[in-house]
Amino acid sequence: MFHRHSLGGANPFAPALIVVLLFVAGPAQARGGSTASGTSNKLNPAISLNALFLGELTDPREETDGLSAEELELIVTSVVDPHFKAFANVSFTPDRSGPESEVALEEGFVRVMGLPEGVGLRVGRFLLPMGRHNQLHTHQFPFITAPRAVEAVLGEESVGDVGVEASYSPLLPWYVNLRVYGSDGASDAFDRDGRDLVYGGRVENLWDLGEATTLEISASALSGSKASHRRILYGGDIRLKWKNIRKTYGRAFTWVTEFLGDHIPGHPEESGVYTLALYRFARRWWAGGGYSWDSSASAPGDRGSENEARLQLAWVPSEFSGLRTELGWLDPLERRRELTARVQLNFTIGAHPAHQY
Amino acid sequence: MNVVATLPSLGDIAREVGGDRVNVTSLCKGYEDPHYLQPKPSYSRTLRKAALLIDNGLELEVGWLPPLLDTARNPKLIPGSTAILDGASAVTNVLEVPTGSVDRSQGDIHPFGNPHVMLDPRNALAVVDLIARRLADLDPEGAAGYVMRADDYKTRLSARIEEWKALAAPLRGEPIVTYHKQWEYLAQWLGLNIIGYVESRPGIPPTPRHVTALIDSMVKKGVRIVLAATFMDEDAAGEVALKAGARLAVLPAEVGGADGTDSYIDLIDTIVHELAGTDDR
Repeated sequence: MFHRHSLGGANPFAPALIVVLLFVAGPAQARGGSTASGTSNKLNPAISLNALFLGELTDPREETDGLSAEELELIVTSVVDPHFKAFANVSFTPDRSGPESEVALEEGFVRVMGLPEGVGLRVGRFLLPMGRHNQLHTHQFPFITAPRAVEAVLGEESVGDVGVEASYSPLLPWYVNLRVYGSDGASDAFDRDGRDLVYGGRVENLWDLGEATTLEISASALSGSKASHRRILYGGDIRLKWKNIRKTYGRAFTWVTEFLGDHIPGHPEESGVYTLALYRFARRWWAGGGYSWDSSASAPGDRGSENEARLQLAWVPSEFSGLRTELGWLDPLERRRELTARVQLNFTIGAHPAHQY
Repeated sequence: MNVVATLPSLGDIAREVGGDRVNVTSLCKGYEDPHYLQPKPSYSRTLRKAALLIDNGLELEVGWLPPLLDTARNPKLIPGSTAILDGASAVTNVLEVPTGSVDRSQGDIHPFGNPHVMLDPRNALAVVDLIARRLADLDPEGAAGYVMRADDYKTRLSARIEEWKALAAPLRGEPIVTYHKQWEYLAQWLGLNIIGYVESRPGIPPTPRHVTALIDSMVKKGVRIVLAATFMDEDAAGEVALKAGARLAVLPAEVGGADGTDSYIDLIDTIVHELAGTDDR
């Protein structure tokens, strides 16, 4: 769970207003870089806003049914000086049950530049590289919500923390990236009160299988304190990507499968796996499907498993907007089977930084 | 010296100027749209070894080069470094630099101007000098050779420019339609008159209403050529050309974009001959 701070008040759109004011206020400052005023916008960072609006209908009915402003993400990035490059993602989540909203610093870190070849270092708050999906911001999710298997093992919110990550990418015949990190332990995946050091690592491998196809195989592990024991999270993921590179808007295909599990001595283990595929069959259209399975328990002996399947159809008029529709079927623990229909509008304004591959 | 160029045309010029003293790799293939290269981590391995990165600039590569530089972890390639060279910085007459407000209702616009500068070989002459100077800065021992090879290449390119101008002279004032806002520099050089685009806005696919209006306009203005890069949507461009009674010219926009375009000079030669309707070589 991110550290969320309530923006109380009567106006449910308070976060959005703040964002709008930021955009309005910026250009109102001196444009010419007047020496007398001492203000200029030439050194402003790249600023962008992602907005997600969601409509949801579930059978049987759920509290979450209806229309909502799902999340707004304000993203700011810039080179700080010759030594650091900074990135921040601030998330605004309007509370559907009342006028309050929550603000969370999803990520806020600096990367150190100019280190020896192949070495990377980042410091600050970041999404821990525990698996593939956990590193994605909401607007990057391949489906509207995270696969149930990810939520079952890692929790409903992505696991982020304040810490230090070092990475090294040796020059081998294929791409390899080794990442190790330690963090404060203030995550819901672990005991927040204990604040024992959380540490983990991830190894990423990527092979070019031709000019249009890549294969990635990665493994992750993370260890921290939970219920007076050491909780070890582990996982592996594989991704195959293909795109017809000879056409700007050519057909493209992505297949991802990820496995996650945990181990706490004396406690039942949780584990889950999901697989999904997305296919661009026309310039503006994507179709996808996914399946998720997880096994978890709230108490020893209370084991059960969940299954989830989804279908998606997305219309993507440009790089900066998209409309996704999904049909999901979930067979959850301790509840009746659910059938959910979702529609999500996603748009981006401003100078949004390019995503990693 | 390891030199990495984002575009094959810049790579070819670096190879011509650098000679045996440089080992040049280009990230983008000639048949790929340079706006939308997939930033595969394997490219960051290439960038790791680079002593010089030559990009086009004007934000042509903004969608994929920054994340590659992050993962390359090459201490030489950090913002502001002399190991990063913007080819377009040599060009003094950048076209279509917005003067008013800019937003994406105008499509995928480039806020710093049209980046496709390499489609005017006169701009390439300036880029040759720029690359030679930077190579000389980074490798002073080879400076004399870089200057000599740059001068030799410019002499050869300049001679071909005169040839191409003569060949394309009958096209001066010719009204044409292009698929994407990509050929402005070429049109300015050859005196072609771009009267419309198949895309309704840059990067935005054509609507039926736009296509109808465009075809009407083409018929009225006597457009005989529709120009599209190999990686664009040939079906839409072909439909427009067919209905307007024009010829669809699908051209390489970069070195390696088609057979017989292994060098920058070959690329421009192919484009000019194709436009002039004399590509029977």
